[in-house]
Amino acid sequence: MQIPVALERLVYEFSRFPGVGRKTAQRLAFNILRYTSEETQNLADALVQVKEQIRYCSVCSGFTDVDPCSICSHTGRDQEQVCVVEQPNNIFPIEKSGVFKGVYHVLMGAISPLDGIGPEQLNLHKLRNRIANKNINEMIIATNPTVKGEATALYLQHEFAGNISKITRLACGIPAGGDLEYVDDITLMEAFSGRHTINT
Amino acid sequence: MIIRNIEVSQFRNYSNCKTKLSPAVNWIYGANGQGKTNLVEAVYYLCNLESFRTKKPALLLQEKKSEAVLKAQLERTKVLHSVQVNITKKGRQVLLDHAPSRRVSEYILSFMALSFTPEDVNLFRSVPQERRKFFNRIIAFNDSLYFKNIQEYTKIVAQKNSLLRQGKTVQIPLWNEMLAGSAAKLMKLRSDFVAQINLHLSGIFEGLSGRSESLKLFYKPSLNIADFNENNYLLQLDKSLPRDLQYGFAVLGPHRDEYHLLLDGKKDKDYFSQGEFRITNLSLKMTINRLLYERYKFYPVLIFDDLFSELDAEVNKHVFQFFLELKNQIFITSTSKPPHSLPGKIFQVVKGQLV
Ligand SMILES: [Zn+2]
Repeated sequence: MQIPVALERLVYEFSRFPGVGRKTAQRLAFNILRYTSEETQNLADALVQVKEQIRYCSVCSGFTDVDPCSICSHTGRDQEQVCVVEQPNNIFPIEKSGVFKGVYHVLMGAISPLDGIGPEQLNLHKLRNRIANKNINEMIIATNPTVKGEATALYLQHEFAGNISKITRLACGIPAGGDLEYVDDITLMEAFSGRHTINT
Repeated sequence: MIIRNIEVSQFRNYSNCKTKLSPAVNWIYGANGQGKTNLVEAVYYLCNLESFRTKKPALLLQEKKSEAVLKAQLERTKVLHSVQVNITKKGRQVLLDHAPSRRVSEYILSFMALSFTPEDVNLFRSVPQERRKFFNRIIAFNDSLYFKNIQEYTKIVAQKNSLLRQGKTVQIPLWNEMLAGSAAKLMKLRSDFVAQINLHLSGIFEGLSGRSESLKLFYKPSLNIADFNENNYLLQLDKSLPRDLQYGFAVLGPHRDEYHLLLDGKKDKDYFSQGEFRITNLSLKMTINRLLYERYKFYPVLIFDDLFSELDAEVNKHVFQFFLELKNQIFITSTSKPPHSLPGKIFQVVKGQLV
């Protein structure tokens, strides 16, 4: 028997997620068929709302539902310390660990010529403006400890060495080749406390 | 490490063959074309997850079969592991202790076979990447960081090459800096490893051949070694930009390193006879074996395919004597029964079956 068109459409949409194959997509779709109407409506609303309400913060480019985001506009946070990350979702694990009290800047990627991404493709213009217009005395580079992340860190170090008195790089603890997204709290705390200065 | 037992199914000319193995010598004999080499190829595959004869998995399958299955119980540091490898035309699947093993790197850093086959005589005659690949595997086994460094270095070179192809020279210095740092680590490890080899190589060569010349492994890095100084590497790399652009790829760096053998200072390719290629290669493998057990108390499985028919009688005597002192599990293929008594088991192969 052929899969009904409406079901096939849902399977197709799920199978477009990264890491989801056709089998998993089917399992997810069958699962939704078991939902009540209310549950289904909740899911649909959540999808529409996330698209309507979540934007990039105009200051740090993190995910937010108010602009500027609650971190950028928080008076208790140290505006002189900027933690630079590759992706908006990299902010969440650092926030969850509670170890960092400064503000963020999201690069929206990492340097990778193979993927056609050079410094000019990164969100550096806003970072330069922030550094020029505000009193920032430390940049903590929290790009991933991958080749792309390390190259990006090296670039930032050269680019901003003359403008910021202290540039640090998250140190030990993060497994090489790893991704900030999958690092646990304790490892992150160690990485923040063990960060080392690189613009000397 | 010791392979306690092995089962080979639908592999080359073996339909199904199951046997217990000796932890000492396993002498496999039979007429040509019966499957002696196929059997040790299966042993090698179980240890190294590749063949010493071919890169095409399709050639490993029995005629008209879509899958070959190799099973074994491997003992390492007194722990018994069950291993299964399913080989298809498209590749292989590894089950370690009944669970799919995703990290092949970890697997191949736990088990290892050193082989000595008629093809090995070509290691120092073939293209340089074969030698780099061979030494990478051994150094990675000695140093798990080396494995990560190689992966990292390979990615950096790919990024730099991509810029060279696109002609974006502005970003090259950044990648040269990445490359210099990574190269320094690799070159240091390679150089240290070669120094370790050279501590024993001449002595082992003398023990195997009865000859007293000095045998050295010579490491010739692509970058001038310059005390492993990253800044010096960066200068060399930046200077090579015109050549990089001319060729369209990074012309300098550890991906272009060379290894040679020198017998009393004479270089392999220019001076070695067929027999010298063979005996120096055997000396190198036995030196690696010694390093592995001296430093890591690890005894790789040793495979000698058709060794004794290729060496002359005088050398054979020395080699036999040498073998008796080894503590490794050893596989030997031959067209005849062993000429001397050896500790272990004797197998006869006829048409893909043990009789
Ligand atoms: Zn913000």
